[in-house]
Amino acid sequence: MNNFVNTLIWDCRGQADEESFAWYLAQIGRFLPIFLRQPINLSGVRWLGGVREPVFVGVQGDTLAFDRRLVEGDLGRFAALAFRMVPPPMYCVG
Amino acid sequence: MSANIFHTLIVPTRNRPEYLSVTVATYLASPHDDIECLVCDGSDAPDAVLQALSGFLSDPRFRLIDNTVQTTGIVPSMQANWSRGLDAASSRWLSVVGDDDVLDPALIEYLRLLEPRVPQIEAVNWFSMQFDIGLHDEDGCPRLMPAKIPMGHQTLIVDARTTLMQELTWPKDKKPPGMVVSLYHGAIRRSMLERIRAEREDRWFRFQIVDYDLGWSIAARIGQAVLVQRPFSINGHGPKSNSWAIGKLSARRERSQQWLMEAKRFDGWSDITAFVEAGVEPDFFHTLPMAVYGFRQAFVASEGGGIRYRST
Repeated sequence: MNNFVNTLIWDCRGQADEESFAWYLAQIGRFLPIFLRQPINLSGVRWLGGVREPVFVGVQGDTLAFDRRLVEGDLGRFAALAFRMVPPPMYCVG
Repeated sequence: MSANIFHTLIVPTRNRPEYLSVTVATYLASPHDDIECLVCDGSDAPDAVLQALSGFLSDPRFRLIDNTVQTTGIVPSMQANWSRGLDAASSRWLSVVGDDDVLDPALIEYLRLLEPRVPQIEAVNWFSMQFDIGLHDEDGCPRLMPAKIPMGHQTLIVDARTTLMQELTWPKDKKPPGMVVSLYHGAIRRSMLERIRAEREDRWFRFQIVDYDLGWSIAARIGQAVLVQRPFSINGHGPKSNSWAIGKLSARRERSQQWLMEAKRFDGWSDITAFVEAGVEPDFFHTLPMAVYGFRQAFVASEGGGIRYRST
């Protein structure tokens, strides 16, 4: 599990660059404390702290995935987090 | 409440009041007053539902459709419970979610902004987020499914019939898009629903698999539909959910093997035509591709190629 974060960063190359990954982490970190067991060398995410439990975050394509312990498996907490994180829809149809 | 209701969220429920307050509270967090939330209760113990929803009873945007189980002694089927909600709603747009699901009221803003751009559209759908409620199974085993938040946000116009055929026939060697048009975790304009009811002699549904019945019927009747990548709802899976077993690998394997044992053989996609003509229940098609895919993988792995289907 120690390699989980690094592996996911490697996996998302070509789909979501490191800057995007940092953005994802920053987004989720705005609302909930995150502790990364294996520190990752990305600028912009070092401020993430607030250790509660080890949780694991990753990106595949344009989807952010994370351990449900982050929201304690609670539907309401997940809804509050998820609906604030998703970007507003684009209206240019096509 | 405004006389012209723009959007209605219908929440059919039966014996699962645990998460109802989350469902209702999230939707009614909207500042708009031209929306309504209808909870159709078919529970054996209406008091539990009343207790769960007590905080919303004074909100004029909320209505609890009467529970008739105790007075009539009849438990409404899923079809009947959904119908009660559709009968009671009078809004321009309608959506249905389950009692362990959540709909983002931002959908209302989206529909308002979308309508002038594509006024002909009567179906708006999105890929809902999936979320396992709780951290463990009933037997104490941890649920390993992570939480996932898609970050896509584009609005697409899709040909509804094409996506329906892709769902039914699985023409490519990858997972088809699934049910693109649906009232369940989607938004359908009332005018479309009324046309279907008129064609069905004043009935909303023909089959008990209500979401597929209605979704496929709509997809077959409309030309285009809107598919927005931004998820507007969460499909929650709790221990009382029908879909709870999906996260259990052992159960999934067992059921796939059972299906293959019962199917005995599968000659190919030409069989689907025969099934359609025979009027097979819609949920059959829901499980068919998964089972065939697993069987195909097993065959290729064991014999190294050649897509032929045979009984186990």
